[in-house]
Amino acid sequence: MSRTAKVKASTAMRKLVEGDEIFVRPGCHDALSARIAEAAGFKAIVMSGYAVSVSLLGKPDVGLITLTETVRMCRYICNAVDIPVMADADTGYGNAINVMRTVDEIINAGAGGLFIEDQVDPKRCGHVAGKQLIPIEEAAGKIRAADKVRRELDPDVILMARTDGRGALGGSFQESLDRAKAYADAGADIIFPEGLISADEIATMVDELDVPISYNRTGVSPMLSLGELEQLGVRMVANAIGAFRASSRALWDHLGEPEGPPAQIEPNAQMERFLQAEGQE
Amino acid sequence: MRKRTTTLLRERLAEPGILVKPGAFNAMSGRIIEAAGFKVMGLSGYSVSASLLGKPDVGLITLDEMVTTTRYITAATDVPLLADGDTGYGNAINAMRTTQEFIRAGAAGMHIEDQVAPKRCGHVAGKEIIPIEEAVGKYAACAQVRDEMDPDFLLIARTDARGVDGGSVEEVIRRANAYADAGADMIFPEGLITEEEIARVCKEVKAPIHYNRTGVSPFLSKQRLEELGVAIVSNASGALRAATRGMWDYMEGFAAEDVDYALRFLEETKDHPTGNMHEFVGFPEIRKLEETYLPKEDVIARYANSLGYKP
Repeated sequence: MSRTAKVKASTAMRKLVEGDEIFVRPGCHDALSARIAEAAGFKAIVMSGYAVSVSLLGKPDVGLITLTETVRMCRYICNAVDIPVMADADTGYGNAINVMRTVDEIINAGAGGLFIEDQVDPKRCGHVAGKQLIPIEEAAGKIRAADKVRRELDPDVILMARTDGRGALGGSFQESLDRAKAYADAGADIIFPEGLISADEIATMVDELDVPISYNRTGVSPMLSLGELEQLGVRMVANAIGAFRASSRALWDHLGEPEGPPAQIEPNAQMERFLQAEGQE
Repeated sequence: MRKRTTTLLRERLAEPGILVKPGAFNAMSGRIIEAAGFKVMGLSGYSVSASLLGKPDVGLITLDEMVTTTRYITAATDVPLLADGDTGYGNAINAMRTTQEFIRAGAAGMHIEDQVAPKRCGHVAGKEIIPIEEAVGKYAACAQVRDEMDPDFLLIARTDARGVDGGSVEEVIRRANAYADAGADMIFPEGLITEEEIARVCKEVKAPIHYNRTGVSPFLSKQRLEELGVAIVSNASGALRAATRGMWDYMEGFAAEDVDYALRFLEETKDHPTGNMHEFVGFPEIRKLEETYLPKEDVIARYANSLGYKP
């Protein structure tokens, strides 16, 4: 959490999750992208594991990034913004015992919440094929372990359980739903059912659960409007790699002509102030 | 085995023609610089400070953070990287460790400047420089480490003597020649303000010149700089500016129009080299590695029977 934030990040995140309005949390991958999302007026952001892996390592999201790297980036981001940050903790970097350390480190880095998924480690992006699941009992144990640490350190921290039960090998909507219920019982505040493929699936998931859901509007999942998602009862909407896509496209266009004259970027006055002056306290 | 990037850079410098050096700030920007065909890249302290910390370039970033970023980029690319060593993060002894760490992280060279620490961007006012004797000691110390570890590592001495209070091109030339005598391979005269100054420095300094085309310095063409005798021209924060503008436009549009903007962006980017993002970031290469080094039948079944992009 930034030193200047008026409310604890966890408390702010809990207010959003327990509120009755849908909200969008764009993804970020470093302090700059986080500050831009904040400047655009978003109330929360997510640190995207996909975007951190690609921007930091230049490698795809297949479980190469370490806990140390995730926590360090999380701290940079949390130090740079006043809005709460949700951290992508991948599989929790091991079993339930590793998860306990992961939750401790991420909370200490200043995150308002975090999410852990039920994929076999090493994991991969939820919208890329080749995913496998760990047994439901093992995954519920990870959530219970995370819940224990969260309660000890800061009960306001949002614990989100992600299930890849829909799209993984042997997966189905029913598998996703069964897992969502088990993880809510294990202490998750909100469920992130990754890779749902229709509005009907979203509606059923919302109806069957006692906790809110987060929806990742990308890849195999339908690009529904905020109004439609609100009607379906979704609480949180992710746009995990939009900023990263925009950044990559812009970099490519800027650098694409090495032999030509340098493309001079003429930022507008607002952006110039942002780059040069803001942050000087 | 791949050739060391230090050796590669020395070879490229020996060839005729000026080298353009865009500034990277993370592995992805480094990969895009490489894909665009540049022969050398910089690691811009300004851009790392802005992207990693979200803070301006006023000496907040640590040696450790710059070395870690260097390591990420050199692991992801084969283009020689020139690291921004700021002031060397302390005195001559600290500068020796700085040199060692950048060499170990795979940098092909680095520049260290003669500002008082904590430093600031060379094109922002408020700079001060250390006495010439102290600076000479720093470069001699760095040169010793270079000679012991990898003589091909390019040691660039940056002088901020032009832009400080009472600064002049004469002082730049005096310091540049003293730094070259101390062992610097190349001189980076920061903040020259006219074409005549560049021409004079190229003529009167006994080492090749690195030019930073930004801020107070004239935006001369590559051809003109080459005629003047410049060896490397830097475009340190261009990539950062482009990425920032790209994200700024996206976030403004997305905040206002939500999914309509996101869909339009995807449509407009469909045929762009980065448009198939999963392919662009390298999932197909990972699948090939998996089929080579993991049980192949399992890998094929895993991809065939799960949902999502199939590399």
